[in-house]
Amino acid sequence: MAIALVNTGSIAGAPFGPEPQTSDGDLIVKVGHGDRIAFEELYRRFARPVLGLALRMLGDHGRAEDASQETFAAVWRSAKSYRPERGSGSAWLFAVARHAIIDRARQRVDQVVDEPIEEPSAEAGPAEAAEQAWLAWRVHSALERLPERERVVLELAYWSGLSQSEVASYLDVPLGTVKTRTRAGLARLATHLEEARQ
Amino acid sequence: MSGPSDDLRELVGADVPQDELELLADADAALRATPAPPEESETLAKRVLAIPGQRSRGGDRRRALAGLAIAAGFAGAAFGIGLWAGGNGGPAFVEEVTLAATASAPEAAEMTLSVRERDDAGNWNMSGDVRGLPPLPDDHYYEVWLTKGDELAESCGRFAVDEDGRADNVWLNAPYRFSEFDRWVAVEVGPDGTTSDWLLDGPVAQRDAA
Repeated sequence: MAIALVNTGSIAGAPFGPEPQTSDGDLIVKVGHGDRIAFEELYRRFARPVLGLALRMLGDHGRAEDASQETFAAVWRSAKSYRPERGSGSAWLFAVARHAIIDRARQRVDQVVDEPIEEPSAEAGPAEAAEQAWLAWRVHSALERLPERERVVLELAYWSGLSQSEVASYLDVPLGTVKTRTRAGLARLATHLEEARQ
Repeated sequence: MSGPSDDLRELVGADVPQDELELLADADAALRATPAPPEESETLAKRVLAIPGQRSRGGDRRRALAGLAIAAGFAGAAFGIGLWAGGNGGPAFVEEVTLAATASAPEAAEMTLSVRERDDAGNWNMSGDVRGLPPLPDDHYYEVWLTKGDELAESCGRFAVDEDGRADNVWLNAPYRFSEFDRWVAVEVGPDGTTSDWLLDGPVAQRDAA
């Protein structure tokens, strides 16, 4: 079994160490062989990225959940066709998800949708909207690979509107711990974002 | 409630070296440019995690082909259209289409497309087996389309082949009314989205009733 090691060794003194983790691509290969455990792990990693992408493109939570289900059904059925040498597992999943979501958008009998709705990019062109969707996908999927303690701190710090002192109070940890976890989480996130870009 | 400080040093500590700070700044910028991820519901998790235990709609390909052969015997269908009891107890059409090589592809190239029963959302689920197409560069892929006249009309999915020119069980779908289209084709798509001449080509049966 191939194991992907998170490359965190490039920063001297960074307050975290490498964490072994099966790569997304290896999980997809396993799913292609009918491995249910790998499928569950893949869902755990990509449930929020897929749902986030579907929400961007469809703008409706119910339909986005339907599209998410269809995406993972497509993953289960088509994982055999994944070829690791052709690109990262995350990029393959992004393509599968986007296709499933576009199909869902086209299934509306009362509204023919030529191009899916991309809510946050109403003023952006198609290329910019696609770039924003890809960035959100990479950020959301990279977050899922962080240790829980770091992911929670980053999500609270960036998306809850809380200051770091308020995050520290909320989590009942010292402010210094919040800063340490923020530093470690950002470093790990940067590494994962770079990997996903390749 | 004030949100994250604009000063990254304030977020991560004043003792962080400059080279590390530059790396952290990339992640910081990405987070600031991205909306919060949604939380999936327990219902969705249950629905998705049940997928491996479900028999595929219309059964697996072998089952579909067996049903196809039996039904074809009764109906005398020349093109491989079968009628058999689907997983929900109701009738379901199954169609197997062969996309043959055009003059633009190697003579032995071929795709066998198994069209399974239509789901509740009106979506045709299909799987395909490909032989004889040349492997492509990393930034190219093959794509299956439904055509109208001489034009590519609707995409049904993408695939790649291995070094032997094969792809097995490629999953495709088509939420369209087949009666509106003329042909199934496969083309090569380049990094700029340009498409090749049709490489594989097969007829569309005019059936939307299932």
